[in-house]
Amino acid sequence: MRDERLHPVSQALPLLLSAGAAALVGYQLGRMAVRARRTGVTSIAPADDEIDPTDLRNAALTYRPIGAPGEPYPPWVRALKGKSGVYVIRETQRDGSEVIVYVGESHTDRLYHTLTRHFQTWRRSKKFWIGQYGGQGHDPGLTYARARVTVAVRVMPTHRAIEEESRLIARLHPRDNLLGQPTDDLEEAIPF
Amino acid sequence: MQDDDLDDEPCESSCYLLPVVAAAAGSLLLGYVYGRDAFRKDLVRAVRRMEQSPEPLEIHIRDGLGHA
Repeated sequence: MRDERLHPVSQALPLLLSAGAAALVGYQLGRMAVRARRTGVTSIAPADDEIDPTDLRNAALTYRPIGAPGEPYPPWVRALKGKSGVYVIRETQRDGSEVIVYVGESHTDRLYHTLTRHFQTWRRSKKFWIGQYGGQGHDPGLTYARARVTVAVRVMPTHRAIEEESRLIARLHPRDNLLGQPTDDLEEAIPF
Repeated sequence: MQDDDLDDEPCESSCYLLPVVAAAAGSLLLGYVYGRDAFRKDLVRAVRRMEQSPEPLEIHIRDGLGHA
C-alpha cells in the first residue's frame, strides 16, 4: 500500500510560513497600536485646548498665555493644583521678542501655588514665607506681568522635578535664575 | 491493536489545518506583544535622548508601515 504521509519538511513548511507571517503582522499591529494610542495616527501634535498638563512630562514645551490680571487662571493652570513638576516663564519684551525669564519647579505637589506666586500683584508679610521655598523666609520677589508672559509646564513625579529644573535651566539659560546656570558649574569646576 | 487502528484512520483536512491555525494565532499574539513592547522601548529611548540633549532635536520613530 502506498504511504501517503507527507515528508516532515513539507508538513512543517506551511506551519512555519503561516506562523512567520502572522508574527510579522502581529509585530506591525503591536507597534501601530502603541503609536495610535500615544500619538494619534493622523496628528502627532494635539491642539492646544486638547493638551492635558498631566501628559506634558515628555512632550515639547508648549507656551500658553495665562490670562489678564484679575481674571481667573485658565483651566490648564488650575489643573496643576496638587501636582509636581517644572514650569518655564517666557516674557514678551518691549521690542516684541520673547525671552525665557524663569524656570522653576515644585517637588511638593504645589506646582500651582509655586507658579502663580510669580504673578501675584501684592506682597505678603515676611512671616508668610517662613517654611516655604527652602525655609529661609525669603519673599520670592520675582513677579511678572501676566499679560506679558506665556508659560509652559511639565508635570512629573516629585523625584524628577529638581533634576528636570536643573536640566532646563542649563538648556534654556533663563534670564532671572541665579542658580544652576552653566557658569555656576564652570566656577565650581575650577577651584581657583 | 487499538493504536494501529487509530493510525489507520484517514486524517481529514482539519488535522493539518488546526496546528497551522494555532501556530498562526500564537505567532500573531506573540508578534503583537513584542511589537508593542518594541515601539514603547523606542519611545522611551527617544524621550531619553531628548531629555539628555542640550539642544532641541527632532526624532522620528517609524511604525511598521513606515509612518513617521
